[in-house]
Amino acid sequence: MSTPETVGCSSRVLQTCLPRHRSITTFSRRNSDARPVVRTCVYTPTRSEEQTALKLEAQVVPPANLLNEILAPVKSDMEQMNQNLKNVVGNRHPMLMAAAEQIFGAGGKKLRPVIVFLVAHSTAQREGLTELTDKHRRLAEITEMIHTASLVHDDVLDECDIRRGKKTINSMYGTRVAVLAGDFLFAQSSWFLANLDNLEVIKLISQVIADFANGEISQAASLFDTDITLEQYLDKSFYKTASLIAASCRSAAVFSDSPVEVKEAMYSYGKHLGLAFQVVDDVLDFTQSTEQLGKPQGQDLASGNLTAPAIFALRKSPELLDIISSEFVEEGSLERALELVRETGGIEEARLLARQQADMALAALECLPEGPSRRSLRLMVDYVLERIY
Amino acid sequence: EIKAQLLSELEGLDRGIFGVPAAKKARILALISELEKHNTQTAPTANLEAVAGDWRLLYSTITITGAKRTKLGLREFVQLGAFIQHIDTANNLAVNRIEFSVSGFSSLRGFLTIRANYNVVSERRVGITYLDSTLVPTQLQKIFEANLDLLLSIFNPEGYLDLTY
Repeated sequence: MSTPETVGCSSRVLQTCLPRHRSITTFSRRNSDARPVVRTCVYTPTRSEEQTALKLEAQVVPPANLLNEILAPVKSDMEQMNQNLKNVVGNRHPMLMAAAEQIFGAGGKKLRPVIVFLVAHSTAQREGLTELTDKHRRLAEITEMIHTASLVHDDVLDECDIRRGKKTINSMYGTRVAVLAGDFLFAQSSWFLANLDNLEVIKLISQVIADFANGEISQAASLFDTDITLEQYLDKSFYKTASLIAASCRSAAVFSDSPVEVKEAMYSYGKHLGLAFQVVDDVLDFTQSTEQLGKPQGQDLASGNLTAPAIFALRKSPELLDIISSEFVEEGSLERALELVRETGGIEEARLLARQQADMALAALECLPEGPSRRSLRLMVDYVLERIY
Repeated sequence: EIKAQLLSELEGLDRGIFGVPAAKKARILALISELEKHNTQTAPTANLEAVAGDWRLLYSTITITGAKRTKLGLREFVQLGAFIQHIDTANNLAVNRIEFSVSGFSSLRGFLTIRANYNVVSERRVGITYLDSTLVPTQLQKIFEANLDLLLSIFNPEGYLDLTY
C-alpha cells in the first residue's frame, strides 16, 4: 500500500494492506460492538505538528464556547454552503422559494455538513492537499439536503408544528407542499450525487436513503416489543441516524484520495459519533423536563418506541414489562414506568453506552494529523456527550 | 336497568380487546355479576335451542396489546370489525366469525372463521373442540401469513365455555 510521502508528513500503517475488495467485505455496516475495526492506523506527527498539538490541547474549552471552537475551522466553508443551498432550492418555483427560507435559514446547527468539512480538511491535510475540492463542498451540501429532506417528511408523519424554533413546512403550507419539498430535496441531492462521478460515494450515500426508510419501518414494526435486543436497537439507530454521518465521513475521505484505512476510520468515526448522538437523544427523552424537550417527557416510551434506557431497564424489571405490554392503559402507569427505568439504572447504563460509542469515535481519529480540524472532530464528540449530564 | 348501565360502560371500549384500565374492568365485572343475580335459568345446557343463531360480541377479556398488536398490524393498518358467534344446535357447531378490514388503496374486508364442536359437560358447561379455521380472502391470508399462529392462538376457542342466559 502506498503511503504518500508528502512534505512535512510521514505516516505509518500498522498492518499490511490487503487488496481493495477484501477490505470492503471484511467491513461491517451493522453495529456489533464485539467486532473491532479491521485495520487501524496511527498517524506519526512531525515535530512541528506535535508542538501545535500540545499548544492546542493546553487550551481548556469552557462548555459555552465549545460549539464555537468546533465551528471555527469551517466557518467560511459553512457560509459558502448556506448560500449555495438557498440558490439550489430557490430557483425552481415560488413554492419552494418560500420553503427554502424555512428549510435552510438559520435555526439548525447543521452539524452534519460541519463534520463533513472537518473530515475533509483533516484528511486533505493528511494527504497534503492545500484546500478542499469542489466535490468536498458538494458532498457537504448533499449531506445537509438529505438530512433536511428526512426532517421535512418526518414532520409530516409526526404532525409536528415546530422545528428548530420555527413553524414546519407542513404547518405553514400544508402536507402537499411538505411532501413535494422533501421529494425535491431527495431528488436533487441524488442528481448532485450522481454528478460527483464517484461510484464508491454514490453507493455509500444512496445506501443511506434506503437505510432511512428501513430504520423507520423497523421501528414501527417493533413498537411495544419487549423482546427487542440491544443489537436490534443499535441497528435501528444506525439506519435512522448514524448511517448518513458515517457515509458522508467516508465520502469526504474518498475525495481527499485517502488510503482505505483512513476511509474506514472516518466511517467508523461517523458511525460511532452518530450512534452516541442517538443514544444521548434517547436518554434526554427520559431525563429532560417537558419545557426543555418542547414536548411531554417520556414520549418515546409512551408511543412504544423502546430505546436504550428502557431496554436496559427491562432486563431487570418484570413490572416494567407488564406495564409496557399493556400499553400504559392504567392511570399513572407511564409515570411508574419512567420511575422504574430510573430505579433500575437504565438511564445510567444508557449513558455508559453513549460513552463507549464516543470512545470508539475518538479512537478512529488516531490516523489523522494534529491540527484544528482533528481537534474540532475530537471536541465534537465531547459536544455530543455533554448534553447528557 | 343494569343492562343499560353495562352497555354504557362498554361504550367506546371496542369490546375491551385493546386494553381496559383495571378500575373499569372491575366495574364491568361487578355489573355482570349483578346482572347474573337476576338470572332465573339454572340449567342452561338443558335447553340449548335458546342460544341457537347469531350472537354479537360486546365485551371480552381477550387482550391484544403490546407486541401482539404491533405484529398483527392492528395498530394502524388492520381494523378489527364485528365478532359474531353462530350456534348451530342441529350439528353441535359453534362458528366464530371475526371481521377484519384493511385501510389502504383498495379497502379490503375479510373474515377469520373458526369452527368448533361443542358437547354438554354439565348443567352450565360445554366442552369446545376446535375443528378448523379459514381466512378469506387470500389478500388477508397474505397479510397475516407471518403471524398466523399468533392470530389463531388468540382466537382459539378450544377448552370449555360456561353458559348463561
